[in-house]
Amino acid sequence: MTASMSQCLMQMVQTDYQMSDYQSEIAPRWCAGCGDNAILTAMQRLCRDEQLPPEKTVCVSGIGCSSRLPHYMNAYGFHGIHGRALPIAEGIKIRRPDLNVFVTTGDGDNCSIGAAHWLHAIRYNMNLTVLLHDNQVYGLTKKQASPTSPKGLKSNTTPYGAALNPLNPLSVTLGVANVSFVAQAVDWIPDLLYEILRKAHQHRGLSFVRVLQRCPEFMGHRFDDWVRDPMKMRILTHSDGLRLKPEVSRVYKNQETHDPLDMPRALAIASMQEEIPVGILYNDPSVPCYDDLRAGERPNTPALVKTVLDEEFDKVGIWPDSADPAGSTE
Amino acid sequence: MQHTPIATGNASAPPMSVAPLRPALLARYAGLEELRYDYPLVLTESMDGQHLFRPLSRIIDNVLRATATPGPAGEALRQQVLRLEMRIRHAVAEGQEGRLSDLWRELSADLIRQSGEAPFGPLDTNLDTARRALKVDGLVIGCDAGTPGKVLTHAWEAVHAERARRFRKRVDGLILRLSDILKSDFMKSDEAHGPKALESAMGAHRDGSVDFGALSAVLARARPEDRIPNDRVERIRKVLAVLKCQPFYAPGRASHFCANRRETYSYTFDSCSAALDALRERLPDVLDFTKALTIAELEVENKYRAELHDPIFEQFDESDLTSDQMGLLPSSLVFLRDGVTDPTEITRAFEALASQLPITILIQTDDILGATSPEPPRASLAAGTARLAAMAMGLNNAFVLQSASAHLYRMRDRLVGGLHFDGPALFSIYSGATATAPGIPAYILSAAATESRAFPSFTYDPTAGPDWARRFDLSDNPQNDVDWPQHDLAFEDAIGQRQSESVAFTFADFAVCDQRYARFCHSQTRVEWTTTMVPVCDWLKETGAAEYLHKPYVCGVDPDDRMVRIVVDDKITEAARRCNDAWRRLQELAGINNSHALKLLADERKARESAARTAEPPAPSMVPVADVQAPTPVVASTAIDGPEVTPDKTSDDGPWIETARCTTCNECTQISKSLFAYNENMQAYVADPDGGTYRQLVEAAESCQVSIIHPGKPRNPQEPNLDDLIERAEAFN
Amino acid sequence: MTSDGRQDFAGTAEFRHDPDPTPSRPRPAEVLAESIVEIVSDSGEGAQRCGQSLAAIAARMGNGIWTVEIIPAEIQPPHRSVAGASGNRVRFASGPVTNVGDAADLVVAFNEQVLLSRLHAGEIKPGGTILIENAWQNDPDPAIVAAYAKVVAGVRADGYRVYEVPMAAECQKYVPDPRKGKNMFVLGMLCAIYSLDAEVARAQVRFIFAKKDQKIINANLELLDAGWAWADANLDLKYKVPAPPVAARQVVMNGNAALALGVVASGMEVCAMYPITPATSASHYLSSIFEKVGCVVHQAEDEISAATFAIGASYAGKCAVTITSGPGLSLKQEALGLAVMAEIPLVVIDVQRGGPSTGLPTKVEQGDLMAAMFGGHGDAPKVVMAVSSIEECFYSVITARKIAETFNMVVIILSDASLATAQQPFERPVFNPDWLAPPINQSAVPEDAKPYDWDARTGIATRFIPGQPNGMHCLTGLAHDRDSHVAYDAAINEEGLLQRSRKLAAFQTTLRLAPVFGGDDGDLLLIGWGSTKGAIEEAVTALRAQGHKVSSLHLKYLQPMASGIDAVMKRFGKVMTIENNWNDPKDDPLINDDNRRLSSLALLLRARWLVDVDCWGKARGQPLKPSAIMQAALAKLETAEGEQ
Repeated sequence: MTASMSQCLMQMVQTDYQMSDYQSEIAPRWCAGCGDNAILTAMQRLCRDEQLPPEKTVCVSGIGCSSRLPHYMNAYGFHGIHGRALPIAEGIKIRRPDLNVFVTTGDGDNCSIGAAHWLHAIRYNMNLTVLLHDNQVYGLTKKQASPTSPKGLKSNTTPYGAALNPLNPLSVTLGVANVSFVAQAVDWIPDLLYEILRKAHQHRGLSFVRVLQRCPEFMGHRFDDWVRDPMKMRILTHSDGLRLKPEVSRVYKNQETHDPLDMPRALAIASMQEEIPVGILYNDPSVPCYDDLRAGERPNTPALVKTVLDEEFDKVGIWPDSADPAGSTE
Repeated sequence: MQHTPIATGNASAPPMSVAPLRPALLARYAGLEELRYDYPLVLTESMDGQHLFRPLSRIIDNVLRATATPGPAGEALRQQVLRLEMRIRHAVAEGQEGRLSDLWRELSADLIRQSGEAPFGPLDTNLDTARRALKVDGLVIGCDAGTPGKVLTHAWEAVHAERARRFRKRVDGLILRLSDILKSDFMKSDEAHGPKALESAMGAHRDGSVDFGALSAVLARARPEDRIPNDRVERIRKVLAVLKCQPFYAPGRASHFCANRRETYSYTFDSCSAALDALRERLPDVLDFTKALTIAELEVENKYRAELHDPIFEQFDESDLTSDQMGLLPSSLVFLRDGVTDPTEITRAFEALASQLPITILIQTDDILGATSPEPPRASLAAGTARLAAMAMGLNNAFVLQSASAHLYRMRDRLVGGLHFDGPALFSIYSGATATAPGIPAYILSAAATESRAFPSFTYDPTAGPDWARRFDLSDNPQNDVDWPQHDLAFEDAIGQRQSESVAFTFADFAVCDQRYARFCHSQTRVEWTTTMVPVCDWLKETGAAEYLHKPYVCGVDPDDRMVRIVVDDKITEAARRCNDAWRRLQELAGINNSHALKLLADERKARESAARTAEPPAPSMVPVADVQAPTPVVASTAIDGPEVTPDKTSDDGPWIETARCTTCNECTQISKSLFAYNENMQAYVADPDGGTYRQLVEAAESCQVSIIHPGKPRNPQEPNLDDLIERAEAFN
Repeated sequence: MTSDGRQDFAGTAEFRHDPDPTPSRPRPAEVLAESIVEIVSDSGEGAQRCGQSLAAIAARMGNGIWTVEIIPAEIQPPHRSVAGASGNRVRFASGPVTNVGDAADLVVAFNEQVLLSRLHAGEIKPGGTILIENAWQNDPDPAIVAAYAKVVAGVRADGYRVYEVPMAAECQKYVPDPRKGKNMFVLGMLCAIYSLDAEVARAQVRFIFAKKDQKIINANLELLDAGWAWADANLDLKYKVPAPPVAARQVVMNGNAALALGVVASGMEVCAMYPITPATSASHYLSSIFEKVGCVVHQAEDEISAATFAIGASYAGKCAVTITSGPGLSLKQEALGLAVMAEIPLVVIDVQRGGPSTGLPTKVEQGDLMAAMFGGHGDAPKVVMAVSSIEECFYSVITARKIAETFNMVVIILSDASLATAQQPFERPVFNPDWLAPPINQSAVPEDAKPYDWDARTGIATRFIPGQPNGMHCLTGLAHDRDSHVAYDAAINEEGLLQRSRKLAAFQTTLRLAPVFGGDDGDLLLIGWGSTKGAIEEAVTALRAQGHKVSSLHLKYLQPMASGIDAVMKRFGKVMTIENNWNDPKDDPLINDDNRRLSSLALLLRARWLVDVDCWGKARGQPLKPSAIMQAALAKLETAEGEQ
């Protein structure tokens, strides 16, 4: 179809947003070497490439290192309270389909204090892009074990080693009803991080992206083996999913063609131990979105409110004999 | 379907040409009301714009599927409901017309009364159960002279209503959003912060707990807020007025209150001239509205820029109207009841059909054959009307549908498709209500017109594809691959034995139904039959002398249902030949027995035969090359095609960074802002290899989390401790 | 239901002209100023519907009414159990009724166990009338026969007028299952006893069953008439509570329905909630109508999510409401702190119940005042208002939305379980489009504007809503400066605290104190808040009728409070709050002035104005009764005299 006249005329005033249009006046204050920088950059690249108007973009976060991200974006930001980024984002989206809403959350925020919201957000499948910055440790509160910390991690709350096996955010998410998009990225392959983020943004529904993120301060060498050995990274590709640039393809030769609708395989990939999978594990665009389902048939207008109120008052009304009951002639 | 065989006893022949004759194939349809066929039709009041009408029998079948359970109780219900259906059928045949629910109520009450059962008895209960399963309602109509007009008008109105809903949704949405902009601006005004406005907004009408004067004083703001500039407010107000008062559709929820609203335009006309004149007259309104709509769409997105857009809207005229914009406005319906006789009207009809305007023209034909007096004319005016559809196909951009009343339900989806078509559309429909064929129900006669190829069903849909094969459709005709459809005719022979014979239904069969053609027909009873009589379809194939030796006849029945042979004059056979000719041309257009294709096929066959004889290899040009493999490059499906990119390496010895793998961790840029910089994707590269020391390069390489910095060789041999640094750099080069 | 949507009452007007059509022996009716009737049954026997219908009929005849549901705590309590009593109390009078009143005059009990429940609760007036189902005397289970006989004999001995009514036996004549029909039979009986209009009653029955089959409507009409005829023929009870004809168009509904309609009328488009008794029925009703106006009730996964979801919607420009009860309010506190810190408007409705913890889910208590005002950590100024009538339930939501959006504040509305289920007629509201929330401002923000440009005089800052060009900023729950940048330094933190507090002060300057009820000065001033208003004022009226110089003051805004309360207090010899919440009993040997814990409002008044405010109140889970307030006031007056 050809574009309508309005669309053509609108394009006349399209602005050309640059990376710098998404950089706030506050310089990032993450530790040097922190993986959050890569995520911020990927996000800004996405905004520029999709030309998202900064005023129509909202980044919502909870508490933690990851949740500082909205401060560094020149967009609307909502740096809320620990664990509650998702319901805040849902509230924003429910009556504002025009806004692009991103949620940046950490492993403590999302998988511990806000775990209930996480499961239900997947179930609601609202049109949000969720980035789980998973560095497997509480950073902002100075090194406590998180639900995704590896067993045996020595931290301030587990000085003799974390006692439990970590929770796997990917397989948990894949197991929730109405799941529609699950991907994993790592901060040290920025191109793929960007590509995955782009796919996530373009997906209609809740896209959940877990980003394995290095914390040089508290988890210094956690991912060294994988950072150094590209063959330990399993890249998931598909004609409907991720397509690799040649320079990335050349470095990361361990590739698997994975159909993003293949749930059993997605679950198997999610559980890999030796290799870190990177790519889109699951993508089902047909799952209905709660914000669409609850969008409301008609807009709320004074006339409509009056009609509905009058209907309700009529049901419980009493009037004197002399008065005209419905305010109209019969 | 049950029908009684026709008697062909040797009773004395009635006087010729006194009583109407009928083709034998139609004899079986006596007592149409007993049959469950496509009529009565229910013009459904649905909102979906798709199932605009359905046969009563289909609706009843659905009701029965939902309510009649297997078993005796369900069977009883089924019988009772079918009895009611029969009553409705009879009532409609007698000219009664009404909504299904009303007919149901009235006739079921009659049925119950006559059955002698008490109210709330089993019959009442069953009919009530069935009524509750009735999911649709609407006018029930029979098949008569009014049918094509009613069906098409109903369908057009439904499509119109659907367009109106879509229009209102869009326009009301814009009105609301524009009003919101103004209201939101008003909320910043002093007036909105005054005591009165505050009191009004607080709701507590009898509650003195807030001093609104004090509240207003508290809210007197320190900083004047940004108000919308006046010119924008003016523009929005103007646009709002146009949108709210548009005359194209009745007002919607948001546009109900428009002080100077004009009467909504009517879009139904009884001549093409009136329609075209009206559309011309309304053009300024269309332009005004379209402009307002476009401006509104820009405004709600905050995208109107006076300096860019004002000039465009100042020059906005007819030529700027796009089909997207026109598609929002109503289409016109022109209903030409008795064909087109006025030559200027025919011209205007073609003008309308050749235009790009959304005009739907319905031509109802009640008479295909036209007057015969003194001779059957080669082309009567009425017959010209009947051909209008075939002619309109030549216009290329008009949707064309031709059908008879009896086939309307079968053509329903195409009909709806035509009504949704953006441009002009022509519907030519034969009602079957020809005054000169008394005693034959309109349904039968209209079916016979299709059957006999006198009035074939077809559609031409310009949106279906670029070529005739996709645009033209003849498939709704019976046995459309032959000249005349063949049917089995069951009858009793002279000694009362049941016999069956395959008989073609030809144009002649249709013609003999018409009283005006009676004088070209000669009815012959069994005793008069001779071996020189041949059926019309066979006679038409004959050439030369046989044509003169043989007498063409049609199998007919006389008023006493006795079988006769109706020998027809050449007036009829000539017309039949013309009809057959026209039919064959339609077939060709539809790709059936296409002459070009047949010729190609014949040539090909000939070529192959001669090739086989000479044992030469087949001409290479005729056969597609299948065994030669094209050297297609095998590319990894996952890789994006593109030139091989070499790493951002400046020289073998210089420092470089694998920029694509940079994670923006700031380590290197914190070491040196001149040596390292970020590109447009915020990924690091070596901005100036001489912008820093070799030490800084090596340290950056060491601190890089992803080890993508390669220091290369030192560029300044004077730098201290080079040996150590070179050794440390080794790991990264 | 008629096509114009008015359903039931169309008939009312014309039937009124018809004199009482029931053929009955005319018996002079005893004229009463008011009467309290209770109908109690096992859960599911329809006593609630019977009571509500009785009230509706009386209201349509012009009586003032107040109804309260008697609710068992369980969904399916065992049959014939004291704990399972379910039903309705109807108080109707010649004039307006503002509260539940004292003990019941007449009780209809479907079995003796539910009767016991009301007797134990002290809800039946000594010597009152009891109509009881007598089918139990023929029950196959001898234990039931014995229990029935014992209770009936017992209440007779205690001086109650007992009528044993063959309800089931009579109903069986019309319907196969008497359990399903008894309530309409009883309704007919009660209408006969109170000389209500037969056609109004029939119209009510037709209304209740409007969606049902004609057969069912007819059967219930027959039951109504049968009950009527039976009462006329067999009972020597005939009363009339005369009422002036209804003067203005009125509506009858309960407090939760009024809250829900208030949400619609306020123009809020999002309600996020999590089920909790007794607040949930407001959300139920709202759910049934909210989508019709294009709005959404979101049942969140928990209370915290409900609050934060609402905050998200408010932040995005659609001021939202969250409806909850005490335990939910506790869970929401952190989120409310965020809304206060970030200055996001939000309306919270707290339908209070007995606490702490799960407490008394279905019963009333005014226990959440302190939690509403001071529940969160740090200094979090919020507006707290309390509703005192059904009508206020409706209007307060509109007011709250407007205050919330004007001051970018959290506004908490305190209702309670007694208002939630009580029904009272009030003047039918006339919709005003100004009530609705204004559309989202999407115009560009001026270049120099800051997201927290606090007005030095009022502390109010114009907030920027996502979508407004140039308004980009990161809102945060951390201490922040005018640019919304995180700032931990002392001066900036202090300024934020000051500005947020200033808004409350600014709002306070606009508040006006309600007039004193009774006299402007006197011996005793009773101060109340919330649902107790009607009972307090009824007690004051009665006390003044007896010559006591008692007045009352009722507070709508509890945070901030209107000026002038101290001046009023000083005009009275003694001041005492009347609250339906806990305070230590003075006569307890362990309790003295140093350790006595006071009711919430008394504590607040003492703290602010250094006035010796006493308190009286109960936290029994029941509405305060006028007679009990009278007694407390009299006792206070006596001690006052003793002191002099």
